[in-house]
Amino acid sequence: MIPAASELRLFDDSDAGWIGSLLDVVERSLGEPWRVLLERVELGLAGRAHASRVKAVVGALRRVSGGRAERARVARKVRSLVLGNPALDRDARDIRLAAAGCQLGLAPADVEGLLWADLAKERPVTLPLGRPAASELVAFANLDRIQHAVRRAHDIRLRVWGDAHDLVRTVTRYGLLARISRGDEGETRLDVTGPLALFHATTIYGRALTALVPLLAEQTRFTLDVRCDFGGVERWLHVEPPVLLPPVFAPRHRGPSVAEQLVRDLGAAELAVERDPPPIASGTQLLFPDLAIEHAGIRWLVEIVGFSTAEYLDHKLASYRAAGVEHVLLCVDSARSKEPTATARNLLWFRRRIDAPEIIEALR
Amino acid sequence: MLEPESSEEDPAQIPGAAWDEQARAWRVPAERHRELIVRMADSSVRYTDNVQPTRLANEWTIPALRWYQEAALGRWKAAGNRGVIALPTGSGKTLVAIAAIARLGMAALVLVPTRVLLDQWARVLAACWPYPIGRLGDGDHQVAPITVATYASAVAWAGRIGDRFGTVIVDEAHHVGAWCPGEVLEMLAAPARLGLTATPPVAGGALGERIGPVVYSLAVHDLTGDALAEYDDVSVPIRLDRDERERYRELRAKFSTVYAKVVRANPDAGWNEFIRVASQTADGRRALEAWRGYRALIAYPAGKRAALCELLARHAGARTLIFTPDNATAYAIARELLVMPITHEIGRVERAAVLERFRTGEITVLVSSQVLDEGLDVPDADIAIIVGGSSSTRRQVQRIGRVLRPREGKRAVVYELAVQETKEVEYVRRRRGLDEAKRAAGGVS
Repeated sequence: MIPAASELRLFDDSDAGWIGSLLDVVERSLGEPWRVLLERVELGLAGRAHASRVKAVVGALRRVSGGRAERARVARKVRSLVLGNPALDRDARDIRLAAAGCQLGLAPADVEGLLWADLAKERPVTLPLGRPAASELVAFANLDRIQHAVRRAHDIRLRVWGDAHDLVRTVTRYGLLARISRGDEGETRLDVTGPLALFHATTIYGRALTALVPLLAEQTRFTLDVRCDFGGVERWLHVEPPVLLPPVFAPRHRGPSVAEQLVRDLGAAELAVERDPPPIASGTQLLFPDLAIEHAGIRWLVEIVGFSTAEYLDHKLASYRAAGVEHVLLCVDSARSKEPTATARNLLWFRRRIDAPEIIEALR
Repeated sequence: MLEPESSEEDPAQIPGAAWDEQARAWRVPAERHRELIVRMADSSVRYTDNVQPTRLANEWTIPALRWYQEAALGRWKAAGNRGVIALPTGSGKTLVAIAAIARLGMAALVLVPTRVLLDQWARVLAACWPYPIGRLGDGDHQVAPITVATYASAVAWAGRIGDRFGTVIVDEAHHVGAWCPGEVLEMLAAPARLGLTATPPVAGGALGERIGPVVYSLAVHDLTGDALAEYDDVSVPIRLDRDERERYRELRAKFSTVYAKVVRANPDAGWNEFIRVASQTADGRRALEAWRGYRALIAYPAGKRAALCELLARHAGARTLIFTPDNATAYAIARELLVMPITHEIGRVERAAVLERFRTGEITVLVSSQVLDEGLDVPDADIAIIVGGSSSTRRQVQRIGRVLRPREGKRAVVYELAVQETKEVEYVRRRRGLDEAKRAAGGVS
């Protein structure tokens, strides 16, 4: 039973006051090192908001001001050109900065400004897009807080009324340990195992889990309940709209997924392959095979499993059986499995890429 | 595992034994393995022992040890192959440890605090031992009969590989019980344990319990002119100018008033407690701001700027390390004089490239606050300029050690800039007092 009240609180309009004061301090510190800004924030906001909440909003501010990776390249180049033996008088110093400026096509003052541009505490405070709105910081701080809780979760329950396609796809793409079912009100339920319930690759799994959180911004009705653990203390996080989250960004271009690669390879072997066949109901649970393959007059369903435990695989196979599907093949990523040695007729272990001839052999 | 049915002794009576409900067996911490074996042998208890560390082939190429290295090793052996050897930075502690591993001939695990030291140890061991060296940390997970692990990786691995080694070496052993958790050593069965440090901690504590007592200790002055270069220790008094002095006094007074008030109300309050209390009131927050302000002021006032430039000009071309009290001062000096800072924020690749340029003499000055103190293989340097010290004798010893690598005809110089009428002078006085006391108590212990 998940309690109604949650101990972990997200950010909302009531935080706008102190976030506004924080932004005033930021504007006063423009051009100064972040270190100075952090000291001012620590002293200026003490007593107005809990240190952890201030830290979360400062983290959101860093994210909003962005651009660190690009600056890192330039800053390292600037340092390699400018820093060397001591320039003990002004002339020697000016000459060196000017020479570096010439090489980089920059004014000497800009060269100096870039010296520590990649260092978290030394780079100058800038707001390239102007003063952000408090609500923007709240949205990113909320995202960060939910993702943090998810990384420390025992279990996660997500209920979505509406199109859950992207969420389910993400669960599949990242190979998360999830049971997907239809709820009493027709909603989609995702019961996802948290990293703290595992003993293997918990950090990697936790990071993969966080991919679900940004997608919540597109849901008009949902509930998310996370049972998590911080330093041995069990806590709950309950999230439901209205909650401020940043808009969903289009994902960066990625290479083909394991499933896409397999479809391509099987296509080349002239097999009839259907990508993302319709979900299969097994009791209240929904199963999402990745492919359907016609082979020797039999329709086989193939599901690619990422993170797994022996119980998880047993349960999945049993669910397919309960749904009346006998011709099913689970392709299991051995690198993300707790016991990559289990053997069963319907299991095919793989690493990185599924071997199409192996699949064909298994179907035979 | 002790099998209760085959044991004629009550396992509950064994020190450290606990019943493991999950395994349905008695568990004893791995570090008590040898003690347990002896006890069972004495009591004629039948047992199976699967802890069998690999024997190392005697194919070492090790340079001859110096007199004090031999002496240190002798004391360690006499103490039952357990204990801490304290030798100054640059005097060859690593070589002592390698000789210990070679002489015992048992698989060894070397624990180090940082990734930089992991690389360093792996490199030195590979030069003395013809087989692959295992590495745990910095993305590597190879276990070999001789393995180097960072403290952090050892926390994760000790439970799995703790039975494979007969010898454990802990570098920078003064961190045992803090950065290097005692539990790591508890999970290792290795009976031979050697701690290495330049600054032996006070007796007892986690280090004494897990590794053993300090069995051999030499200070810098014991080896100067022999294994370490001769050096001059020069104090450079710095005066604040009038404006700085007034500002210092004003800030100091603002801080002291509140500090005194808090301490009067809570006589047992430590510094952390003071910060907690002070940050709850506007006056307290102003006091903390004043504290930061006056520390920043004396960290790098105009007098230190001038003195630093003068010293760098005097020793132009000599390899020089500048030590600062904090990163902000390191960056300020780096920006003003266009010299390279070495801080934890400077990435590994860039840092290695800079140290290489320093090694080849392409650049002759580096500035750092803490990164150069310990855990980094800094090339030979001749001059150390301590722009801001602290009360820590340990830090001072590490810093001085950076310029003491011996070379024909070398005489290093250590300058310490201290602002008069401030805490800095007190720090220098206190440290010097401690040094004198140690010297008076007798060098070799």
